[in-house]
Amino acid sequence: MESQSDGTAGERHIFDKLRELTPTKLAVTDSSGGCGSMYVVEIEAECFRGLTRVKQTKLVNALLKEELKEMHGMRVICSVPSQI
Amino acid sequence: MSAKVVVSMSNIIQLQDESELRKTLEDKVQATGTAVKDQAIGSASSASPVVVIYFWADWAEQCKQVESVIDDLAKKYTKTQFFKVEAENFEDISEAYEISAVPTVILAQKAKIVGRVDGANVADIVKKVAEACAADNGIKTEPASAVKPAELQQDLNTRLKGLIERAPVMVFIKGTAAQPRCGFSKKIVGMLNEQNIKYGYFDILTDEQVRQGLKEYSDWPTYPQLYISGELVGGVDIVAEMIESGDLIGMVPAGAIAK
Repeated sequence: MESQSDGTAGERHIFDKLRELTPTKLAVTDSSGGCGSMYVVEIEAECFRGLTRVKQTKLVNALLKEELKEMHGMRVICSVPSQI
Repeated sequence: MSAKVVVSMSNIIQLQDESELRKTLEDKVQATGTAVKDQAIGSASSASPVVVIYFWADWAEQCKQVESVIDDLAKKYTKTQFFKVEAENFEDISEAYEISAVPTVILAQKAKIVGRVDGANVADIVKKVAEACAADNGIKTEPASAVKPAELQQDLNTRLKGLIERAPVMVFIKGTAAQPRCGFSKKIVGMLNEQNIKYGYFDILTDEQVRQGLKEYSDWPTYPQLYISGELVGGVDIVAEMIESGDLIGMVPAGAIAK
């Protein structure tokens, strides 16, 4: 999966950290107009299968412990890849 | 215990004239602000009492919340003088205390600033006023311990578990269900009401121990937090998703749905 070439440094930083979950789809958006205080993370990964939303979000939170301290809020939307 | 005394609100006044503040502080507040700036921010000496100065403006939404906190504190620390200063009407004083934004709370002892809270950080305001004013009011302060003995931690966990299980549906918010003090808390309460769910709530702004302790206990970094049958369901985003998908109602025990 390639890095996000466009976007703020904050977005790219979070994007790179979340690759550890080997997502099939990943998009990180700074929803605070570039201020780094609010992010929306859309992530699709196999590791989320069968987990409650809380557990899925915790997997993401665990990789962003330091970043979470800096920001005001983060919206995490987790999904699993559709099985063919 | 001494005879019951009627508590008049004379320890809290809306500043009408600069001289009132100056008299209380027994020192001149310099217009240029240099005198106050040069004073080191130090700890309270036992001699002079601490004065609480609350700077506000009518266009700043957050001041309403802080004002009610200040009123409550004045009732508790009756021997401490509280001043409410409308910042725009007292530019010299505001400049002297380097007020850049409102609400701001300054704790002053003569010409020294012994503490300040910039912004509507209610927990910090309560904490700093308590630390600064307890002695003047004959209240013993509990020293904040950096290391929590295992016993205290166990008590805290027991307490948190008890709070989480206080109702089948339990939400931890900023403010009360009737008056939430944050947009996300307001949203989650609205959603629960819309779904006709009966729930209990806890205002984490009233208890710093719970506020920090629960984040660690549940390994969840933010508020609001919703628990159903003692289990963390999530925050406002997860709850919104679950309502949309129809998953939330399935989790709510029958007794917690209002007919």
